[in-house]
Amino acid sequence: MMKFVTFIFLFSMLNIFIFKNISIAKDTEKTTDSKNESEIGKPSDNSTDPTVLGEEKVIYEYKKEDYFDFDALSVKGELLTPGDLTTKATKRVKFNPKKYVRKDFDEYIEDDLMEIY
Amino acid sequence: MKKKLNYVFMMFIFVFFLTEKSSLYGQNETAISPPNRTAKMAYQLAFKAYKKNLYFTSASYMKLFLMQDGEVSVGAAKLLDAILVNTNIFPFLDIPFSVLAGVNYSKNISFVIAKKYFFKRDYPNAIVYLRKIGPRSKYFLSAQHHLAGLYQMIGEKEQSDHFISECLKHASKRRKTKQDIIEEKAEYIFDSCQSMRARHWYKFGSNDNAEAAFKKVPLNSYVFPQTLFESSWSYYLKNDFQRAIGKNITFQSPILEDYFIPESELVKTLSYLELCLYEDAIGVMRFFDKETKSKVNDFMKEFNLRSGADYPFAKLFTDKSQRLKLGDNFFNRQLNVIWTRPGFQTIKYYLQRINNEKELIARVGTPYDRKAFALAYRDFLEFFNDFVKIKFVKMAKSIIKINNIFSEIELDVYSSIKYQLYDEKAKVQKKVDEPEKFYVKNIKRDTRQYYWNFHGEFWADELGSYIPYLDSRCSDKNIYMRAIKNFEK
Repeated sequence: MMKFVTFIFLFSMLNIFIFKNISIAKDTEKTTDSKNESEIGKPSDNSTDPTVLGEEKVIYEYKKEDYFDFDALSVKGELLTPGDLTTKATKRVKFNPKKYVRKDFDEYIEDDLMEIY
Repeated sequence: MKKKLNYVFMMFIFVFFLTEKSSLYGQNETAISPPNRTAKMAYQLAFKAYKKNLYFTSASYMKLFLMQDGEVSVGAAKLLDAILVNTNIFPFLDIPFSVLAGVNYSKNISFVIAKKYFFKRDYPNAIVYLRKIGPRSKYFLSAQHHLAGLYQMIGEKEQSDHFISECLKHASKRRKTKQDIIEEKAEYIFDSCQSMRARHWYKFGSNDNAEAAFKKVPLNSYVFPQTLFESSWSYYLKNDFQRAIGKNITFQSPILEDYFIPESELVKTLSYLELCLYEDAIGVMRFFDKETKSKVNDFMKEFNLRSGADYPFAKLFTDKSQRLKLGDNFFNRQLNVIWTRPGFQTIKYYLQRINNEKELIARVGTPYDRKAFALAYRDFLEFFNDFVKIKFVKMAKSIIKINNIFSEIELDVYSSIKYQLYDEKAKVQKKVDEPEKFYVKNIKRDTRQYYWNFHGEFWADELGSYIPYLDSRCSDKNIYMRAIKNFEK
């Protein structure tokens, strides 16, 4: 009998708690909707807003700091560009006098033999 | 009747000489009269002219004979040889190969054919005909000389060596006989073969032998100036740059003032560069550009080489006013050098002979003889003019070639200096006391005198022995800065 009484008591308490929460949630929804209705179609209290005054001056503000996660962009893989073909110009072309050196005097022999004597 | 017939043939020949030379000797020309008769008459006239000592006239008739008759008898070949002895090969150089090759019994005609092949730069065929010339020919010695040169040019070392020895041996024998120097030419050929020996060793890689052979050329030889320059290449290859410069500086001496070999400036420049004396090298190149190249342009304008003026180059030797037009430059002085060449001496000798014949023909010659002589005279003057012209044109070409090389070198030098200026390798700055650049070693001097100071003096017996004292500046870092400053001036 006692068990039955306690069960009824707990069940009633649970019902009270649940219904009470539902009514609170309904109250909060009502307050947010009423606030939105008041902002639409009505000028705000701030009278310096340029859009409202019809001026063309527009002020943009950007974030002063931003954060990029480059690690997240990196791709793992093998480099396939022909890196072996590129060289660094560490050696210069030196003056090579050998290409101007006379190998024979055939030209002068021809000159000599051109004459008749 | 016979006299009348002779008169008719004489008329035929007269008509021939009235025609242009080109048509007279053209290969496709046919004879106006029956070939054998014209040829016979030409042969007779050649013989008659020879008997009257009209050798050049006789040569003209002989040319007509050769062009008409396919077969040359022993007698005709003997007459041809006799004419060649007196006129040299000048009158026969314009006869076609096919005609000359048909002359079988002549001792000297092979030299004419060989020379024609040589002028065409067909060296193997020239060698074939030169080797046919026997010791009894007037041109035997010349043939040995030519063979030595041609074998060297085609790169046959052993044959070249053999014929240089032969040339020296025969020239040495003949020059001792002290015959007419212009006819025998032994002195010239001996010196030329001596220098050819040096060239042989240079070409085939024995520089020490080349140097020794260059030294054998005597100071009073006509080939000495050329040898002086060629030996400088030999010293250059041995890295004896001071001596290479010294050899070429000798050309500044008054006795060699007339000699201007453009390539000698190249040897000087390269030697200065090897010693890192950039200022001197640039100095040589700039002087060459300023003084020499402009003169070439003037010369080309003066002698419009394509114009058909009458023997303008030959006139440089015969007409003083023509020579004065050249002005005082190396082209004018080059005439003195040409004058010393054996080829020119031969021309001068035969010019004298042909002028003598001109006087003789006025007294004893017939009208046909005079016409025949006029053709021979024209041929000779053309050869004379071409001889001088070729010398000048070759010189002009050489100057232009060296000037182009200098442009390349100048660019190379600038880039070389630029890189060396920025070279990171620390070079130890060598403090060098500036000595007088051109004091000379290996020259007789007082026992108390260590160096013989050079102040521009040249002594004839010391020519070719000058060695400027030049230290290499290749380890001197400041040399580049000094060079740059000088270039900017």
